[in-house]
Amino acid sequence: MTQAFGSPALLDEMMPPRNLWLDAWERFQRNRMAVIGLAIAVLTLLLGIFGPALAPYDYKYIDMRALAEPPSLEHPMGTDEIGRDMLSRILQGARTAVMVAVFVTVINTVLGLALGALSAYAGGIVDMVIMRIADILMAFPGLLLVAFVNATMKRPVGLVSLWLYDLTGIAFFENTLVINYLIVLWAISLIGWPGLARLVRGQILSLREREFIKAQEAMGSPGWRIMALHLIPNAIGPLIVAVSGSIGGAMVLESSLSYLGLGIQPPGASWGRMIVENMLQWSVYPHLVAMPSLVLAICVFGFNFLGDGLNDALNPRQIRS
Amino acid sequence: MLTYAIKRVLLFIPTVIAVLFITFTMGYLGPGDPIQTQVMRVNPRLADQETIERLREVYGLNRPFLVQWGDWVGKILRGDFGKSFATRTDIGPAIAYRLPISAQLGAAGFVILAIGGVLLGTLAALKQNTWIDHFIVGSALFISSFPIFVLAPLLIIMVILWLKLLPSTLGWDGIFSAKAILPILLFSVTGWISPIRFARNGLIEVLSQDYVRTARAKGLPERLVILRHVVKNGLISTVTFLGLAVSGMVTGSLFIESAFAIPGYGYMAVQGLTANDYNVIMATTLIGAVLVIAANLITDLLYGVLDPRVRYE
Repeated sequence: MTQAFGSPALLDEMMPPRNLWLDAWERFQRNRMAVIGLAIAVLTLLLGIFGPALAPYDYKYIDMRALAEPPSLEHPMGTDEIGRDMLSRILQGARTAVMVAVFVTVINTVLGLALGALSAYAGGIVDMVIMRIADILMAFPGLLLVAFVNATMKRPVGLVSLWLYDLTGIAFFENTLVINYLIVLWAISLIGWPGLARLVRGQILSLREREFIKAQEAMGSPGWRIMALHLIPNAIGPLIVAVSGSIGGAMVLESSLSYLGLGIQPPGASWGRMIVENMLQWSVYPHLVAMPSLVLAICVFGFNFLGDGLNDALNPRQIRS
Repeated sequence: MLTYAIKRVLLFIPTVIAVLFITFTMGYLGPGDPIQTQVMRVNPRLADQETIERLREVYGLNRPFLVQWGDWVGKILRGDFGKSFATRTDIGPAIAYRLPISAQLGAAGFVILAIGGVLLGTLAALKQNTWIDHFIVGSALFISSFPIFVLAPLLIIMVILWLKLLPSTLGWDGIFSAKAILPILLFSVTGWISPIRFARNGLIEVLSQDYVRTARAKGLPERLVILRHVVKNGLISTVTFLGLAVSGMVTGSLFIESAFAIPGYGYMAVQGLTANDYNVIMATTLIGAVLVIAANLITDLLYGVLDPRVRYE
């Protein structure tokens, strides 16, 4: 997605000028905040991939001679209360945040697209069942449902995976840390797909009634052609906006869960966990709370502005006055 | 309108039942056999099969799953949420004490949120693509990018420790005390982006309609065009944010109340979650969900009143 927007020159070569994407890119460029958001988003993704490799220290390494040090040349962001390098921990936290965001967004998008399209095409009882499930999941306040699933499902899932381990002997099922991560990720994904599925369903249903699709059908175009050339290009704008918005949301949810002590467990590094671990010493060591707070805020801020810019760029009807 | 309202309310009931079912099922599967856990905790030597069976019978845990569920729902309808494992006290009275506190904060926050949001959104739409518009939308987006658990301590430090604008504001002294100012502010400001966006986008969409051009062409003063034609139609969709706002406030209360040590619903939920107190977790999750469902129902009904087209879909 970012690639498609990140390389206008490439798009230029591939497509004739004055198409949907070029128009959108031009509108997007004019929005300075959106471009900044794009830069932050790309930087965040890169840090999530390469950050831990660039870290000056091991994020778990404890240096007892450097407890709660202010930023210095040796430790650019200082050290935390038990002498771990803040910069390294924040970079490791970036990996956690990006991993959660990417994983959750992929699951959400796949589930949302599949179930939304299925709902729109199948209609009848399938449509009703899927949409009722979506309604019910959307009825829970997001964080509460995630926290609830997390709190109640850890034991049953742990038992099932232990049973699976006894049965198969595969080491994966014994690794509680990975199982823990998976429960957090699936719980966050659980609340994201209903919104997307509704959006996809609505787009397909309304587009199918439009004249240009009816005309295609009347001319005898095959279904895949209508889908590829007309349905998808017309429905994808709002979808991209929703997906880009959900990335920042997933990052906040992961941090919130970790803040409540339900998400990533120590010694894993999560920005939310870092904030709460250092909260009690705020007035003594403000930088320990400020660093992860600001990094988290800047990332979410970047994705929010990116989403906003995409919205203005891809839904041009809203900005024509 | 009446048929529409009845239809909506009838849709509300199965959703609540489904929520009750999901909550109970997960609370049932989550902690495992409560008798086993309790017996092991009190005296593991008592844990012979016969005693456990007898205790299961006493507590009605040997009955079929659905019967237990029905029993649980019946108790909840009578306000009995069971006992907290951590404090050994009844949850029902605790909720009756705590929920009103959160409701007062939420209501005060909501009033500021709604009025402020709609005014700012209207201003942004009328001054579209000027620095005023960018400033309003930009700063609301900026604020909403800070998770509440980041914003709350930042505010406490800035306002109380550095600027010394307010005395120590931790705790609860009623809604009309200085202690409630910061929490109310947080309840409202963090959600501002949604009413601002709804109002702005709704108005901008209407501003480009033909009937607005007609109104201007016939020489109607701009003030009347805006008041009579644009605002009336453009703000209808803003009602949608009600559901979002309530949902945001329910989750927000967890962080705000624990940051300010307010003995409300959110604080209770956080305590339950950190102590793995399943009965408390079930009660708070259920209440949060019912609040959001009710807010969505009210949104739908209001929409039906404001926009008659909705009723005939």
